[in-house]
Amino acid sequence: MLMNTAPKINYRTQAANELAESTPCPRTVNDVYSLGVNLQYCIGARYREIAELNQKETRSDCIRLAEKQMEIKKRIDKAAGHQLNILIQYFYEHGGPVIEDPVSEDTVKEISPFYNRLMENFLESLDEVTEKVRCGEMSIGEMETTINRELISMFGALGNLFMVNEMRKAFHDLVEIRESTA
Amino acid sequence: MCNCGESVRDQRYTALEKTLSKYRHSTGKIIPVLQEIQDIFGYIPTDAIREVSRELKVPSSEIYGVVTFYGQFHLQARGKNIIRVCTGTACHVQGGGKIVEAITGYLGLKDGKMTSDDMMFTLEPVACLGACGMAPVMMVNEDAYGRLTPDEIPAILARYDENRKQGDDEKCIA
Repeated sequence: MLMNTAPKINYRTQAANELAESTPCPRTVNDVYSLGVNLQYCIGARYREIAELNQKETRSDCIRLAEKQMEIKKRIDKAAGHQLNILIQYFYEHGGPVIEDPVSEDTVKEISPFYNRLMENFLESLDEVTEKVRCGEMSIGEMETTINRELISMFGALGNLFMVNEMRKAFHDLVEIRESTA
Repeated sequence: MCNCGESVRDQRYTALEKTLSKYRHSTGKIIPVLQEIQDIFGYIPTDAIREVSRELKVPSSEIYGVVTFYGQFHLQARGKNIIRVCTGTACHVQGGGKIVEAITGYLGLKDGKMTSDDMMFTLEPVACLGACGMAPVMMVNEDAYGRLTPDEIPAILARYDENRKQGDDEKCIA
């Protein structure tokens, strides 16, 4: 049988694959910020990929968006650094106590299926958006808006999985950083 | 019976003799001598300290003092790959201890031993690697890895392990 439609390209980049494999459910606030940083690399890689496919006028927009992801990444790094300072201050003020992960292994086991599902949904929506842009059904501006919306929604949902306040706050920080740069 | 190991040993000691003859009675040349000895052996063997003492006319205790003072000298044979794990405060509070545990577990290091049996790795806890923002951090040879989790350790070390070599450096921040 003759195929008259172009084969669907799997846009899931190496960055996304690595992200899915290398970011298990977070157990610490640092893990949450690491997730945020890894997502920035993943989204930045996606914009760069789209830039390769597009014509000159939209290419510069894509490159600008890819660079913007690195700016957001710097803000996440800054938030992570702030949290680290708080942790070090606590460590010194309390005579160097053993600092346990705020989320236990058992809790992570319970949460993981939901966490994986939310991540998977986000990566799928990223693929869909990329495919639409490739087919000309969506503009770069709409792509940015959609990714922002999906990401904010995912961070919100992920934060709600955790009972520990500091974990929720870290996800809230990621939402705020994303919203302020949208 | 193969005696390759013996011939290697002989060559090393021949090189040691050459080095020592070059510096004979040069009491102020302890550090250059030790550097050359470490280049030959990869570490400073006890026998070599005795030889240096005799040739340079310097007490063994003094040579031992120099060897133990400078971090660049090692009294034990080291592995092919050097793992430096940061034990600074930032890495400590971010779970650096678990990273050390994961490494010792992977390499099977026990009772204070720091080099793996196959001589592929030596673990060196260090005071700070200067990348606190990426804590917990470790370096394998010249490659730095940040924001580590214990789960990632086997995959990272396997890349340097010739017996279990894997793919590219995905978390390397160097």
